[in-house]
Amino acid sequence: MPKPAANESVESLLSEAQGPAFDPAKAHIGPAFKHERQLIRARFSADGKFVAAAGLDKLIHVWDLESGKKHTLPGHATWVSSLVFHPKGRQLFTADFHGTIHCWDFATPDSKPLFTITGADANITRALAVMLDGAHVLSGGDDCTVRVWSTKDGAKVKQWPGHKGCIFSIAVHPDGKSVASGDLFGTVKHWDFATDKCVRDLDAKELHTRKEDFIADVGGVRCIAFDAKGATMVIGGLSNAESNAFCPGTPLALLFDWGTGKKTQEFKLANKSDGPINAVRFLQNGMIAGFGETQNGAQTELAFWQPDKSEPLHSLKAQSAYDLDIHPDGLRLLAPLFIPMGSGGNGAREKQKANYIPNASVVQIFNLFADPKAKDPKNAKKKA
Amino acid sequence: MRRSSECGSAEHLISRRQALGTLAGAAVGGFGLSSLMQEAVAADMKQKGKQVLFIWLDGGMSQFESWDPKPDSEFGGPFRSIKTSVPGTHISELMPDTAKIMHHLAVVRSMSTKDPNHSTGVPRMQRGDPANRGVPYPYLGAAVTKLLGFPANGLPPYIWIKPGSAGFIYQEAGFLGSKYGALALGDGKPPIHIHRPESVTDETDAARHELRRLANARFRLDRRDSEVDAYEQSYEMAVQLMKRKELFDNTRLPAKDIERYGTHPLGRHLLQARVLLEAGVQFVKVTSYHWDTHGDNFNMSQQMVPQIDKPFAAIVNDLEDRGMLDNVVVVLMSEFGRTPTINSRIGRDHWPDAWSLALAGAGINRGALIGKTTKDGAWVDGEGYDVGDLFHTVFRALGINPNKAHYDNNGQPLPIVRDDCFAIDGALA
Amino acid sequence: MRILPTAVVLLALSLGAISSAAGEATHSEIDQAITAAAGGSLAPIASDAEFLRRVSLDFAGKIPTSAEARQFLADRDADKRAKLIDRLIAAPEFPLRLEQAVTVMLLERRAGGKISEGKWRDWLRAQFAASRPWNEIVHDLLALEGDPTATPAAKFMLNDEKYDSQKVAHDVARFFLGMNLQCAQCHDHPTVKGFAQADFYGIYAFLAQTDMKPNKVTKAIMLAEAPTTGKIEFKSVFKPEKEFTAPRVPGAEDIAIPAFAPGEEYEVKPDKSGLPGVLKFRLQPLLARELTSDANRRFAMNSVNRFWFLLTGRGLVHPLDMMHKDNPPSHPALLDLLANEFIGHKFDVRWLLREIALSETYQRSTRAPSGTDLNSVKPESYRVANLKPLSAEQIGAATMVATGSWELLGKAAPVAEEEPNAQETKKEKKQKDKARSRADEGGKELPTTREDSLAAFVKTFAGPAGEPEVEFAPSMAHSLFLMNDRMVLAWLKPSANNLTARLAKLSGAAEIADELYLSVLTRTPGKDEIAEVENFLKKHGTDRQQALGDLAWALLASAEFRLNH
Repeated sequence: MPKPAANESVESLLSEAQGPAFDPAKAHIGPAFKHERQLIRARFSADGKFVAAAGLDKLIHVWDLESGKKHTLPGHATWVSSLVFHPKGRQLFTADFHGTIHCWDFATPDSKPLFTITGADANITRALAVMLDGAHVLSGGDDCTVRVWSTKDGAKVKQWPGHKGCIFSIAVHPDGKSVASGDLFGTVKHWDFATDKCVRDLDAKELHTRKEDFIADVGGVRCIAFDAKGATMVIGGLSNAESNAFCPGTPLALLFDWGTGKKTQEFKLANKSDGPINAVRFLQNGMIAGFGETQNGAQTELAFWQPDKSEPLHSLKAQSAYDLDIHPDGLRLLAPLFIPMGSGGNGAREKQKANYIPNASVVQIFNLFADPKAKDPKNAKKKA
Repeated sequence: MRRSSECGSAEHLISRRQALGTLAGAAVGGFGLSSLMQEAVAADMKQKGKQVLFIWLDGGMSQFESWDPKPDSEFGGPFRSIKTSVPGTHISELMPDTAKIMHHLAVVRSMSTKDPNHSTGVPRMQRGDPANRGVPYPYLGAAVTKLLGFPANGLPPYIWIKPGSAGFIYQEAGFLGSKYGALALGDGKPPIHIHRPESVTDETDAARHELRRLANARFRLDRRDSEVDAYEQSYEMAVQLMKRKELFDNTRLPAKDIERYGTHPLGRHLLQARVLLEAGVQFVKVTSYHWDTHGDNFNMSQQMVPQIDKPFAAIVNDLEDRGMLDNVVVVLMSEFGRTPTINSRIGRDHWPDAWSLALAGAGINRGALIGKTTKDGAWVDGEGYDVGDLFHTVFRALGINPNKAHYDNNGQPLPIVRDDCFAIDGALA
Repeated sequence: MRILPTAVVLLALSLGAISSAAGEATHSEIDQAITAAAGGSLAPIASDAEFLRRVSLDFAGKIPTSAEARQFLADRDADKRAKLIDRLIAAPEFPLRLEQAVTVMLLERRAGGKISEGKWRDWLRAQFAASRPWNEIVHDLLALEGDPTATPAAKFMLNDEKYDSQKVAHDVARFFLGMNLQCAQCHDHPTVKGFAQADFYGIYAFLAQTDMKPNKVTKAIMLAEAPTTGKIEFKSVFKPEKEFTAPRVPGAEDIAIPAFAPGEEYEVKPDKSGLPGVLKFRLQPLLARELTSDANRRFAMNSVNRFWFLLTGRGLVHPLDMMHKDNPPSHPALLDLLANEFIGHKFDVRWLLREIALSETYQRSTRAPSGTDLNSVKPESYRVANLKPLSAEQIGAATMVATGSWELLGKAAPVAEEEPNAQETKKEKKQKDKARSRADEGGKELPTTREDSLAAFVKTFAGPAGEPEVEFAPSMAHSLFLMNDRMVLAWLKPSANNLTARLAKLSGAAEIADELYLSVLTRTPGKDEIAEVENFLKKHGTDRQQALGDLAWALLASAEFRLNH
């Protein structure tokens, strides 16, 4: 389990970022922010100076990376399901399980939302994305419809129905014109923003399981990412689920050639892990990072894949994560990790009543370069 | 406190003596024999024609995502709580149809049981957690069959509709003997071989069974009856069920009903349960598996809870419309609830400490909300109820006095319930 | 009668004196023990007919034909019962019957894994055919390594896709030690004083190092043991502290684990190619040896208890896997004696079954003496012989013999030896599926072999997977099958020399009843039964063929046929 690092590391984060050479094979744990409740989304601001995270406590937590200070935005009436920064400026969009979207001035503590969209979905809003030009924010969720909202005032601009299952993920293509949305049944829809047409469906049925005896559908396209040039798309989720109860299966990420729409690679985790790959990101050299989720508060991993190999080049063992973001400098990743607080497992806990508390989380930064402290062999030995 | 004093009550003492055959007409502890007799007669009257619908969500439905939502607690999920037909009572938004029939239900939010494991928990719950008696206790369906007796209609008294395989599950009978076991219908399909080939006419069939009965009568002489009885009964029940093949003919069901109940297994199976109850089957158990949502609890609950919400509301409404709700005791439960804490797979684990179940129908206090959990939903606030208490409640709802009725295990009287448990306060009408 | 206290017997054993006291036959000692504790009047000895049916089902797994029955009933030899027992034990059906009974006991109708059931059955039957001692058979079930598909005995430990040491430990305890340690996996048994969690983990410790490993060269899955590191740690859900146990057969001493320097554990080191290597010290063979050794009385007692149950319908300890202090044997000294004798006779199953069958206890009637209070007759008293349900295999075979289909149905072509296992399993499955679809309404063709016909019976009458078949558990599915299955009904139509064809050739009611009752129930009919046949044929004279079929069906569907009485 990564230990949250001390605050001095946070302060030195930005200065440190100038020097080191990108090397994901030497990725290591960097600074972290601990939180007493479970966080499921965490992102860097566009300028890389802030981190925002949210989850089960309904609040929006914002850390200033320069000062290490944290402030809170009042948040939502229910769990936060999605969180995305505007590519410029000070807007932060957050969505929740009641289909509400808030737009915040994230840098102003305790500020009220700039605007709020209610009924953004008939049920749960699960995914948000902002167009590259910053003019529109897109949402998707249970009612299988992608909706396009103005980032000025939250006015609904248009909507794209067509998915057959709830939408788990949305990503904007680097061309600024195409949008991909992924659903429960493993369908990724390619939308043309200008014409509102669904250009094509990309098939990732592997990420959905419904065996004969299941009473629910398991899986979904939990995340989508494009490489910088937009030549390939990677998506993640869970394949071959064995039940709809524990929902254990094989974590899987899939690489697609965006031009042909063909699947070109399957990525697997190196270690035992039974939940979905919840988040994927392209790194600056074309490598792909993905994060797993696993049962019993055990460790899963942050995996680094080369596009032409199924097995990761490198893996960092870590607790389950539910999101993954990359810093604008390309040298750091960010993920909200699960922290077990000793109240896990099955009940009959009458005796532990007094210290029965919710599980917690840590917003963890992973450095994609050699650990300067590990360079010195003496230091390395000490560590061991 | 309530328990220890009632445990030694006079009524209890009498029932023991009665079972041992030593009740000699003396008044004991202020209760006259005549009042006891009257009570017994009244009980007999009450239990006539009673039926049970027992719905089992195997693996453990989350109380937070159903009967006991805590949207404002740190343990509550992302779903809302909604108003119900009982003012002041709220349940999860995942149960909109059930919310409309709350006035027919008694919901117990203060179940507090011992067993956090499925393997031991399921039998323990369905057997009413008998204290160790050295014999395997019957499951609820077998117990009710024994206590109410085989109904005169000749239909199998205990039918279990379940996904997967079919068969005669004699193990559920425990020490009562295999004839009290459950006839399991795999996915609601009729037993195979229920159709008689045309080559066997009604007349032939009647004639061959007559010969068979005569042969069995001769075999019985100077032998204990139990084996022959059980074997004979398996034929008589088959004969009766063959006459009622329409009970398994889904093409006869109105499309409107199929729509109201849903086409998923719970919908189909509860609709079939209604048909069987209408036909007079005494005990119908409907099981749905895979509620053990250790992983992705909220996405799973979002899909699964509506699968019980809709048909459960439909069958309670239908029983009410048919005037059957006064006769049928309805129980909806799992072996336990699910943990307040949310695990690394965004799931909930097993939680026997504080969970909910629902009752309806005959003898049940309609619209009652029984017990509560602490603000965070983790613990019972006040008195908790164990499954032994539930069994007292169900038996009493059926008109059976659990402190008077005893099983006879080869001459050894055995209590039908834990004698240190009591009917749930406020659950009975 | 002399029944020695255990300690004395053990002493005697150690001195090499193995036969029972005073040279008395064991079957007589059985009767003395049962009579002494009967607590009421004993049932008379069963008739020759009842005995013939009983012993045929128990030793051959099927009933005799009417011709065989006639011959036995007419035999005037005073020693004919003993001779019959010996003939049955020498017959080829005997190892088949034992194989079927032991398979049901050990596999409990669970199907799966990579080892075909056919190969397991062939292997087990061959062991009984060769009169291998029971402890050696059990030893072979446990002392395995290498490619399990090459060793059918491995099916006991590997009747699933994965090897599960917990499950094997649980099965070993239940089947070979009479200890159901289900509860003891998580804590000491709450209600059984003698079943400790340490007992379970003691057995588990022998098996915990074993697992399936793929051999990268041959691609075969190998059962291989890893070096033992020390004691097994376990934790009760009721106690905070951890506990430890060494490998230990319950009641025996801890096995000392020799210490090796790291890397020195192997005689032959594991090959990178996937060969598991040869350990200097292995635990699994030690379990096989310790468990089945003469010194392990629990093994011998459990073994005789299970074979006793097979013939008498009730274990001296019952339930069979609850052999503990608070559930004492009904006849402790008898169990002791049989265990000692079984050890003394080198675990000879034939000897044991023969002695039980020779006893009056076995040969008693299932009818209580007239006027007996039937409720007072406890099954564990053996005053009256217990009714035993026919196993699925016995019902199938008996129905075929009774209807005369046994002779008409061919034998299935044997499965080619060289065929790969996986395919063989598929083939078996296919055969079963075929039989299943036939047995059901919609099936078009009826089975043409005994094997396929039997599969239809097993499909219907077998107990649920993973449950011991001990109690009589009739089901509506059984009765519906006999009532409506096309295969069964077809067997009641005259064909060649089958039962109804033979009956059709007879004219007098007495003759017909005689052949009918001898064929189906292995006895001659009573006067009232002859009259019943006569009346029935008169009443249904318009379709005599149908009437004869109905008469036969009624007997097949009767409790008398369904039970071994």
